[in-house]
Amino acid sequence: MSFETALRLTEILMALAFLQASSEHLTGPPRDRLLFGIRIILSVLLLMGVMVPWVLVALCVLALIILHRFQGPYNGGSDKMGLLILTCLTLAHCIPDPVWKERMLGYLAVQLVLCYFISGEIKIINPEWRRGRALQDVFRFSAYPVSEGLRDLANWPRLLWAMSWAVMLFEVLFPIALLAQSWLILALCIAALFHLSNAIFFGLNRFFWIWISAYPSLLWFQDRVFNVAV
Amino acid sequence: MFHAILHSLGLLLPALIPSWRFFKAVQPSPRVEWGITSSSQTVENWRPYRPRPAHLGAIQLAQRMFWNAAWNESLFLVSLSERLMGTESDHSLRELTARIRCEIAEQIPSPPTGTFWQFRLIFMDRDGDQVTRHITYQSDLIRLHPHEF
Repeated sequence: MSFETALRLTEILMALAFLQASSEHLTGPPRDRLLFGIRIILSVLLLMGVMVPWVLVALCVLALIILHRFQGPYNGGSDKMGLLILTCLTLAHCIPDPVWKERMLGYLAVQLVLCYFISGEIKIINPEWRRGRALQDVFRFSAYPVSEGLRDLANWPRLLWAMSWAVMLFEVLFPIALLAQSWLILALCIAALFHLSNAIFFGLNRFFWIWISAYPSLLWFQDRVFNVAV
Repeated sequence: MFHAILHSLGLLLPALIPSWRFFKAVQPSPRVEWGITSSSQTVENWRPYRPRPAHLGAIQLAQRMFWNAAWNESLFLVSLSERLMGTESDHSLRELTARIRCEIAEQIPSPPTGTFWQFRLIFMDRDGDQVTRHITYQSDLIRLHPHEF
């Protein structure tokens, strides 16, 4: 995948993710409707490829105002990932040096690999996760399960133990997928399914949309750094 | 203004250099409850803020992939509750109060005059095999009709 294709695909997917998330604020307080209404207009311009560098800079300024409005991210990790992608895209467009342009998209790709690896590593060193107890707690009393019926899954310790290990092993082994393009495509499909399951079980829909917008950067990065064939 | 920009840049930094420590450990989990009462009485019938449904069907789950505003607002209230307990932030208290007040207005469109409301935060945790509930915060009584004296 060429640098230009990866950059444009990331812009399109991020704009769609921003449109989805922003639309959810249109029923909120008037001040939020104004802020997210502006973000919707800017996301549509980005989607259409109109004045991209200026639109990205405007989205960055707006992101700072929204951060100030909520005194931090509104939707935790998904907002943080959105800010990371937005910043990398903006710098990749605005920095004139081609080497630094590539480094900006490369930074996003490296962070994507780290996000899976570190999430897996910090779980696997925790005995509660290794025993499946942590995932039991998530279903039993955390705020995340979207329905009361899902809390019954806490009574299936063997299933949750297997699910915990499947998630931990996938996450810590994710960097190995960089060795072959077909492995990486398979790993990204599995990762997308993982985010989809988080959306189904825990209502984390925004995570799904924003995380897949970073995937083109990793496909380009692998091709650029490892120069592997399909 | 300059201070606000610096503060926002400070909030941006964890996104640019993320720690990626998702679910490192399952922490005590907050729940928001609210109730109404007449003047000088204590709230007895506490209600959960936006209780989750018993079950969700496949169509509802598919819809929520694209439109999940109420649930994401509930998760924001979880963050606000954790921030309030962690840093006693005024912003968190204001946001919690405003958003719960809106929910009460939807639930009780025509409350009697002289009605007060209150909210509390309960943190759920595990002690051995038992799930425990601890009330960690209880707001003052607030007038439901703000212009009443």
